[in-house]
Amino acid sequence: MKFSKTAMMVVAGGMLASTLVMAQQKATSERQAQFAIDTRQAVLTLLGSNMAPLAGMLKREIPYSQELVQKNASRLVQLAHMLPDTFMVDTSEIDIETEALDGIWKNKADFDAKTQAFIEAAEALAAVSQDGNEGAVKQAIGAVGKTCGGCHDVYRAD
Amino acid sequence: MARRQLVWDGPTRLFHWLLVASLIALWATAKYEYEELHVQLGYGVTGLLIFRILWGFFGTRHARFGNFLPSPAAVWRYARGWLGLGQHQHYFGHNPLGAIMVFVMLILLGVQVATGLFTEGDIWSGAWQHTVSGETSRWLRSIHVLNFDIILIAVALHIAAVFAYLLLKKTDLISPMFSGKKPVREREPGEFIAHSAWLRALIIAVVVAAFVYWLVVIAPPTPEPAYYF
Repeated sequence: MKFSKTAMMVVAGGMLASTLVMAQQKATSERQAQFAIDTRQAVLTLLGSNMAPLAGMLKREIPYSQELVQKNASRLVQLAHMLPDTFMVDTSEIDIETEALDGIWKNKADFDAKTQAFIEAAEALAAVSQDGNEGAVKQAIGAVGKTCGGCHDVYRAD
Repeated sequence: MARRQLVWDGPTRLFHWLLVASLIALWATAKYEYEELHVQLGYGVTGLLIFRILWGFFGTRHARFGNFLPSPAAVWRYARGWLGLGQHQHYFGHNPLGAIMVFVMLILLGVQVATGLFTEGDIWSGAWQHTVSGETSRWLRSIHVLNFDIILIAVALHIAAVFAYLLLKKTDLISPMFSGKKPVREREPGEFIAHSAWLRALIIAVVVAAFVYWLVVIAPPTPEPAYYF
């Protein structure tokens, strides 16, 4: 297959743009920081709302439904992949209200390892929810929960 | 060997050792993230604590708070005596310094179970966690975490004191906590207890268990359906 010159340029341009966006940067204005924080909180809120019924099943507060686990797990995977991106903008030096602790950007490698662990736990849950038994699925839900808390314990303000 | 008679009733000793086991298990389940077990053990300690408070009013002689409320004067006199600055006083039940530790420990444990009820976990939370804001819950959680360190310090002091009695005063306080019995040093009628009052303890334990069940299962409002979509 032969790509047109225009298409090649669009792809190259897109790749360049994405590297610019992906690179970690310090927020330079309150406006920029606020947008980063809003996006972060939006993703985390949706992670929370999609996780809540799964936790509810674990606690036997609502009936177990593997269809619902499949649906929410696939959403968790998508959102999980967005999560590291929303922390690319370092808001630690802007005086603004956020529960994100400065350590996120001071220990970025550790933070990244923790978000990666979360992504992998969400992917494992999505996989096991396809054909796994209830016990295995519940175990995978618990594993996702641990990766949420593992990060909150260290990088979220009390 | 001197004759030994009952000082610590069975329910008090059972409370003490169940609390020790529970605290170790609570530490381990927090560290290794067995949340469900941690929460359930916490409810268990809630029950133990309420039982001990009631036993402080309805228990046997040396378990009753009224019989070992430490007055500042008694604490002063006892501490001086302990250090050799006066007559070392012998107590069959809690001595005034030990009494302070009993009350401090009960208060610390009270703070611990109360904050735990509102603490949010990864999956499992305290039974009342969803009734407060996330901000309040996390604030109470931070107290829960900090207060445990204070409990550890109190436990360390308690154990250090027991060994100080053993090594410096040649007084064994440990085996009476298992057997309930202390050697009779002189004739002091009324200091020892006749029996452990097991039946009374059992009745109180049943009432406490019912109360804890109400507190953590029946009383907390059901989480809003909005949590589940």
